[in-house]
Amino acid sequence: MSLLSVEGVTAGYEQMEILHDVSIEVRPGEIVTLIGPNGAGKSTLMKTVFGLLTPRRGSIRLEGRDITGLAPSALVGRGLSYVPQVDNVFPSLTVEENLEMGAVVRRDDFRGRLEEVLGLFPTLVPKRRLKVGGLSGGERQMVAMGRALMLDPCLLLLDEPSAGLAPVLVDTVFEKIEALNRNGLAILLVEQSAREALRRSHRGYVLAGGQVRLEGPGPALLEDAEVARLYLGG
Amino acid sequence: MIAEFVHLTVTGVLVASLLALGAVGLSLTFGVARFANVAHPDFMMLGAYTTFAFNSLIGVPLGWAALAGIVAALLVGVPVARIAYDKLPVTGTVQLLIISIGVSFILRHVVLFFFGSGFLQFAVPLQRPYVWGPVRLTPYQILTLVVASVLVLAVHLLLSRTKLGRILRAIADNPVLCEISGADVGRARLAMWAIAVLLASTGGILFGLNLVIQPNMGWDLVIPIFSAAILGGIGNPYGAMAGALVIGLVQEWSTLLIPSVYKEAVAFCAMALCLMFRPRGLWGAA
Repeated sequence: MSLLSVEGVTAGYEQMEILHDVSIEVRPGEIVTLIGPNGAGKSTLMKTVFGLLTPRRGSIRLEGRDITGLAPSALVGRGLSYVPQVDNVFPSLTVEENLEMGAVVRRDDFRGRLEEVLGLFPTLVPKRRLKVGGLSGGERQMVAMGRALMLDPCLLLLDEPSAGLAPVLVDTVFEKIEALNRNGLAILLVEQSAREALRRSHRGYVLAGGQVRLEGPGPALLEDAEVARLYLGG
Repeated sequence: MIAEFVHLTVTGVLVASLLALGAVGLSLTFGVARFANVAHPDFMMLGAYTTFAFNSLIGVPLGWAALAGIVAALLVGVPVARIAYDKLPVTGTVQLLIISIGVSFILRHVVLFFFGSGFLQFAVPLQRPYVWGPVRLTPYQILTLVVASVLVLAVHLLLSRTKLGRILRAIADNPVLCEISGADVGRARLAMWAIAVLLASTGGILFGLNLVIQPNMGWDLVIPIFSAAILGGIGNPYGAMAGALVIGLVQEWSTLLIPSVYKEAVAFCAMALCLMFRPRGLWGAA
């Protein structure tokens, strides 16, 4: 059974339809990557899955239950976490407070969870009481992912986690993603660094013009001549 | 001269404690709701008049009248703020600012209709001041300082130590990410308006305890309260406390040199000077 299934979704903004009849799925334990040119609708699809946009047609199911049109606060309660591409931290809050915001819907004692998440990002430990606004780009990305992980989600949506990072940090981010996945977390990823992402993904989808053009195992897409020509820079 | 200076300093701190109760709430609502609520000082006026109604018209002793007055101000002020600022299909800083001017007019004229335009006073006994050298303080002035300090400390503890405080600071930082995290932004805003009205109405009551009240008092407080909030870096409640202290002291000290009718102009000049050299306020984020 699929963890997330998006079926025939058409969505967009008020004046503009961006996604046309898109269907994708994420199975338990998978890393699934969406690639495609700018404006293909990758981020729109993420926002639609997370309830920030309401689909005009189609349905979205999480663990078999219909979540179409549910608000983010309801989805968070069902174990879905989302890290947007930009503005994904609270700059004037400390590292710890940012992480605590990720557990805002949890009623149990989350101190233990806080230590677990900090354990995943050891570089943040000495900075736990510093404001995030003063951290480097890489550290902010760790805080952003950490906030989403505080929920102990069943599916993590990551929108361009490597955007704007130095190449050495891009590797670190992907290593974190793989490590999280080894622990059983399913991840739906949008990436500009398509090569890096596909190599580490179980499956991938190629989006263009708001439609799914190709889908298949990550390494197979990496070797596909058409994908290489269009999106991987030859 | 020294005695005069000490006296003005004490008065300045008293004025500052009244201004702080308005400015802290104004700064909090600016940070979270992202517009300048011109009607905020009218919540002070509202608290003063609801207390006056219980105290002088119905004859409830002042302490109980003040509690009932705060509750009444909350019952009126919070729904007004929720409907006017959160529920209307309007977003945008300028639109909300204009709406708040309308709210200010409505509150003032409703009070004007029921209570008239004259100066009113709470029914309180004459006060015998305590005298320590050049410092003279009446019991109500001491009460004002204590209540203002306790409330400002309570706001600090709320913002820094509680989950609600963390959510409010998070909304001020990034409202969309707050929603993405699953926080109930609507409920946090409801709590924020309640805190703002509670602080303002208490400030208004303390104002009435020390001075006289009239329906335009909110309008008269707009300049000093906004000056204090802006001076402290608007959106930052801690800056607002410090800004209130600066405005209160500068206003009172200025009377050593220039006639006291210019006090408000002095407050305005302090704000203008600050904006010229530190556009984000003395304690605003760089």
